[in-house]
Amino acid sequence: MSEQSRFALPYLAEIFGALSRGRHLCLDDGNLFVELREHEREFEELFQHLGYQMIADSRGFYYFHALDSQSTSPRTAKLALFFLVLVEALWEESSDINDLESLLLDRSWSLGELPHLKRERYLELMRQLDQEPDTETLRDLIRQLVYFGFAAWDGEERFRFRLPALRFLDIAREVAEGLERTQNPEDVAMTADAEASA
Amino acid sequence: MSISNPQRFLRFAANHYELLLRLLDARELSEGELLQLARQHLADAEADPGKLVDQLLALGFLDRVPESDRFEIPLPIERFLRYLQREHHLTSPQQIGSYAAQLAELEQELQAAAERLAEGEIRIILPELADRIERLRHDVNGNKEAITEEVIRFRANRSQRPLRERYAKVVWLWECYLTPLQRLLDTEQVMERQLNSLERTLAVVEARLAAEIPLLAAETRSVLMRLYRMRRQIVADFRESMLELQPLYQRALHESRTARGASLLLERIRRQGLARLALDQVLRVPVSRHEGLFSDLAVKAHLFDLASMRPNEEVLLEQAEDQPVEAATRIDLARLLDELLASRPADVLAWLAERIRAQGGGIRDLLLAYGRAVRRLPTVAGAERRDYVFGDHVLTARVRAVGEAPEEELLDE
Repeated sequence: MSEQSRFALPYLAEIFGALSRGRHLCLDDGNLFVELREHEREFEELFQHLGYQMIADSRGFYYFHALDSQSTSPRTAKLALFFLVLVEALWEESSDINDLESLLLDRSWSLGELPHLKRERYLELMRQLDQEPDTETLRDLIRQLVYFGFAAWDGEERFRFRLPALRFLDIAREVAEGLERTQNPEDVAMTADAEASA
Repeated sequence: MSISNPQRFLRFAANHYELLLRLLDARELSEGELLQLARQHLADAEADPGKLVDQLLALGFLDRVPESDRFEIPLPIERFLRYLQREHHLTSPQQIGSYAAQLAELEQELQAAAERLAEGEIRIILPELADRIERLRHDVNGNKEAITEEVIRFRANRSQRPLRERYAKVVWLWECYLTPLQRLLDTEQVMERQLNSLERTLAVVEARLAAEIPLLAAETRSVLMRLYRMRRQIVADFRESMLELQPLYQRALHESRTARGASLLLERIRRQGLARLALDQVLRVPVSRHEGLFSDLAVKAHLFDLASMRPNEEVLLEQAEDQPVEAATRIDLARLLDELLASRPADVLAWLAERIRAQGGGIRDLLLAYGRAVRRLPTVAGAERRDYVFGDHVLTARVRAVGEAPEEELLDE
């Protein structure tokens, strides 16, 4: 490829490799994010030619949104469950002065601080992951969150969420907004189902 | 309850202010708790706490809870202390609305009394009007103060209440106090019309009394001034309350919406299973793997770049037609001819037709390959002529095997 080419983009191979594996890139990813932001339009156009839709989220991260013809990772449903449990627990129990986003993003977590194994209601939900949940289950989920760029390890036993984790909050919010529109929880749930399986 | 000696009441309050604040915090106390609290606040350790409790009761700082052996601070004292502490209670919009209704009634009475120049009645009505106007002003201001305190409490969260509870309080304040008050203050609404009417009436009454009873005219003027001030202040207080609470309210809606959505989804997962919700389809995170394909990616990127390139040199179509153009083909001809040579088939055209058909090639590919084979490879034509069917075409040629290069004939029907 000529040096003058519009598509002679820096870190192209690394960026494409990461995004196409489902990774979300944000400022924590250093040069990859910086170059993406710098040449956002060119990357977007090139990926579009290659059959990928890149989303530039205004909150400061990038990811590929799989098209109908592309496979999606079933693991992310489990990650969503993990995250939703955490959101509900924070809402119910946290007496911190910050809002949910700050509560999630502005700190690091140890596995022992997570609420998922502490209440029967959450344990029951976590059993949906097809195994009896334990600390190793949580560790595995964190590994997957890290793989997709939703979290990052912060030492051996601690991790923190990265900006792209806000996508899980978006899902919850969209469902609630649907609820407000219809004022009928069953309708919303059905809509969510229909959208999800579409 | 009346205070028989206000000076003594105020002196006691000044000397035992800390104790009164503790009582205010406690709300209700048993006799034992009261004695213990009194003991902690005695200046002299030898003094009798029972005597202090008796003084609290006698001066009206404490009252007995009905049908109980417990004690509480009476409402007027509580309000007085909270006022001193700048802690304000909320007045319901219904209560505020009722002041407006009372003002309307008093306005009618004043109109009637002024027409008759009933001095005695006017002397009673004007203070009542002033009282309702001041109550309205103080209560709306109290609401503003109470809301401001709530916002401060929210931010500090000294009581360590969870997010859910704190935001619920914000939403409650907004929906139960500010929204109804907004409706009351709306210029299109009843209260506004009532206050406009009262203003006009007071001005008319003042003018009528000016000649007849000047002293009452001045008092009417004073009530009118109170009305002006009240209207100005309640709008300002309301606006300030809105400004204080609105960011928190917006945040509360945003946050509670997220939490509600999360709970709803979890409930659905619990009832129907994680798979049914297909959350992965909502996130649509791809799983493609492209390790080691960078060279392909680079080539593709270059092609897209070339596709959008604007050449500097102008190429005319008639000139381009003169250039020999080799037809594009999907078949790798060089490789095919190598394989042909290696296979040494007895019938070259039949062999090529079969291979090109298998590779999805067309008649153009077949003719091109056959032409090259004849020209470039050592082939021998036999005497037999044969028809070769290829798609919609029938080719007629002498059977040719790989060998020495002879003449060939090729006909296309």
